[in-house]
Order: sequence, then C-alpha cells, then structure tokens
Amino acid sequence: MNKFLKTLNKRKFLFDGGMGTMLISKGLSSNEVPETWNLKHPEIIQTLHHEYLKAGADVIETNTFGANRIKLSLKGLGKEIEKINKRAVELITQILPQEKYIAGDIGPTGKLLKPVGQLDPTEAEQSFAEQAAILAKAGVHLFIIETMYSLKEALIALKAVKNTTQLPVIVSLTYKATPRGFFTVMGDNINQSFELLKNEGADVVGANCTIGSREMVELVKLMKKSVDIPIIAQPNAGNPELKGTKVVYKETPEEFAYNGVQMFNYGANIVGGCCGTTPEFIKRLYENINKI
Amino acid sequence: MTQEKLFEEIKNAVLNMDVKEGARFAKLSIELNVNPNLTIEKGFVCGIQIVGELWEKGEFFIPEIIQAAEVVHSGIQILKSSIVKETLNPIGKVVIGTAEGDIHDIGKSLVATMLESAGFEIFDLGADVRIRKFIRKAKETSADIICISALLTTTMLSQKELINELIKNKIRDSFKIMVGGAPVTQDWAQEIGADGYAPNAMEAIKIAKKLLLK
Repeated sequence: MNKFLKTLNKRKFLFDGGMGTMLISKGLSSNEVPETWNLKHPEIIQTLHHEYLKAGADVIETNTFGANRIKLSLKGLGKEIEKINKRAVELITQILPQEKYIAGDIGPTGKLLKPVGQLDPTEAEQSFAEQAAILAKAGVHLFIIETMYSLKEALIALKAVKNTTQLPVIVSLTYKATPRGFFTVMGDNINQSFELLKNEGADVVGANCTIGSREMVELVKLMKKSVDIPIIAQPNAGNPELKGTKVVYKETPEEFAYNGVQMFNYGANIVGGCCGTTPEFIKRLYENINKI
Repeated sequence: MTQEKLFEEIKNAVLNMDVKEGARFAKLSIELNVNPNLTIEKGFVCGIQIVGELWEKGEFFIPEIIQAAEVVHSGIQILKSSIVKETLNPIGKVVIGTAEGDIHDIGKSLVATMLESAGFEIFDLGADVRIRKFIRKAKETSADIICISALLTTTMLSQKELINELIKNKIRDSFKIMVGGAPVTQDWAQEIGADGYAPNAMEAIKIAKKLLLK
C-alpha cells in the first residue's frame, strides 16, 4: 500500500491553506493567471509553500489549480502548460522535508460538459490526463482533484488521472447548502457522488470551497455517514467582503481552528483550508490538534 | 383554447424543460392572435420565475435552469419573428460581461438569457472583458444597466474599478450597475457603490426591473 494512504489511517492529516487569495495579497492582479507566478515570481510561491510547511501542513498543493490546457488556452498560455506545471512541483520539492508530501492540484476546466454546455468529455479527459502526466513525471506524491462543481467532470478527471498514474487520488467536490441539504450547483448529492467516486477508484473523497468552516462541520458529519473511505474537508474562511480596496474573509484563524478540530472529531481524516485561509489558520489548527 | 390555458401550457413546457412543447404553444399563440408580449410575460417569464423558486428551494440546479432557459429563448424567438419590431419594445438595454481576467461565463450567460426572456435587449460582451470595453459598449448602445460578473476573488475588484472609472469619466449616473458572481455578496455590492446585486439569475430579473424604475 502507498505510504501516504497507510499513514492516513493512523493520524490526523493537515493540508495547506489558500493559495489564490494569498497571491492577491502579494500583488497578483486581476488580469494575471495565478499559475504564471510559478515562472514569474517563483520566490513568492516557494516562500508561501514554506510558510505552510512551517505552520504544520503535512501536504502541500502545487500551484496548478487552473493549469490545464483548456483553461490556459483561453489566456493564450497553452504552450506554457508543461513549464508551469513542472516548475510548480520543483518549487515544493526543493524545500520539502522527507516526511511530507506534494499533492498535484487539478481544478475544473471552467466549462460545462455537453449536453448542458459545449465541452466534449473526451477533450476534458485529454486535458486532465495531460496535466496529470506532467505533474506525475515532475514528482508529486498524490493528486487532489478539487473544487469540482460537477460530479460528471470530477469522474472524468478521476478517470484521466487513474489512467495516467498509480498515485493516490483525492476527489473533492464543492457543495452549497440548499433548504434540501448540500448539493453541487449541478444537483449532485453527497451519497450518490461519493459512492460513484469510490467505485471509480478515488482513495479519498470530500469537499472544499464555497462554505465556511462552521457549515463544513455539518457537511463532514454527512460525508462520514455516506462513505467508508477517508474524508477531506477544506472550507473557506467564511464569505469574502471588501475592506477598503481589499477583499477580506471574515473568519478568524481561531474560529477555523476550533471548527477544524470538530471536523476531525466527526470523522474527517484530512483538514486544510481554501479561499481566505492563510498559514496562520493552519498553524492554529496544528496547535489545536496537537493539544488533544 | 383560452388565453389562460395557453399560458398554463407554456408555463408547464418551461417547467418540464420541453423545447418542442414551448415552440408548439408559441406558434399556437400566434395562430390565436394573442398579444405576444402577454404570452411572453404570463407564459414564458412566469414559468422561468417558478424555475427560479425551485432553484432557491434546492429542487432545480444548473442543468434544469439552462434547459428551461432554452425553452424560453426559443419560444421568444418564435414570437419575435411573428411581429413587427416596434410592438416588441425592449423594457431596457443591458450590457453584460465577465470581468477581465475571469473566463467564467456560465452564470453570466444564464443571467443574460433570463434578462432577455424578461424583455431586456442584451449586449453580451462575453468573458474576460476590459473595463474600457464595458463603458464603450454602454455608451454606444445607451444602455440602462451594466452587469459585471466575477467568479474569482481575484477579479471581483474589477467591479469596483468599473464604478470608479465611471465616476472618473463623470458618467456614473448614466448607468445602473449590477454585480454578481459566486464570491459577490449584498454587502460587497453596497461597499463598492453598485446599484444592484443578485445572488442568481432569477433574482437578477427582479433587481434589473426595479433599477429601471429608479
């Protein structure tokens, strides 16, 4: 059995926190593609990874959320795909302590699949497989397919990664709370999604983005009931708001850390942060779980 | 068939996401000489409003909304083709697009379709649109409303930039500004001085209509 998966059953695992929102605070402008900073400002990306490692994260995600061909091509960056993904892995490898892990981050294409949208499933699969192959070759230890708002697209990405590598794969969907419970915007519920993902070979399933940490505690309870493989939870730091000219998230590191412990208590195996979370959030959570 | 029955059938076609039925009853509306504006309003738009309520309740999701919107869109096209243009006056003009740096146009396109179904004339600039382009198009078309969408926290600041740019050019009062997108909230809209915020495409119709009266 893979080392990451073996360790996962033995102790609580911490992922890192927000990347995009951290880059904005470092000066990423709205017309820039965050992943191009792997090439333009590698020192900033690496420092950020380092801060998350210092904070206590066990797994660091590559800065490659939108670095698939479909998304990059829209900004005329299709040719850069290999450089951007490869460099993202290198920036972590250079500073990674031996007992820690690199997760290759794969986000959605940003397009809707046929018949609802125009995206051809084969094109999507090729795009995911291409990115996964570059990341695997560059040396990631596992994959996280995240912020998927469509189960269908998540399954395509999972299949693409599985066909490309033997590495463990985490699949994390993004759910919104409706009066009828948690659903993706495409209408996928928890039970059905996780069962399918498990059957198709996901090693870990879970949720990230859209909701804050308090709501995520509720979601973890439901996720735990629905499936018998490890669970990941990566909430936002609440909802974004404007302060002066800056976007801020309301939740404090304390709130996040308190709720993070709850998530572990209710059965999550991995907790990390999404939009708005910073190294301070992960540090507080690390301190809290090590008090227990 | 009575008018009421016709509107009821159209509403059902929208709710059942049945493009063929929607088209059939749009044609029947023409044959029966029913006022097309009334058919749009009491049939198609009424149906799409119920779709919006079902979204709020968590019973309908994006696939249902897109298909229902398609019924409305094709129904309106049929009704439009049957009448002289002057009688189908748009209730307002809207320039719409996703902020620069943001390639997400699923939500924005949905809002555009909904507003069109509600009788607005739409100028859809697509995704990754520069502030300058929004303003140029709004001036050129004498738009009533500019809708700017942002799905990313990185791009939502463009909404504020658009408003600042309008103020700088002394034309802030010429247009109403509506903002939307996943990270956007009512508080945010107020903070940046937007005129309206809608959490979803259905709500956008209500807000846009309200803004026209202001």
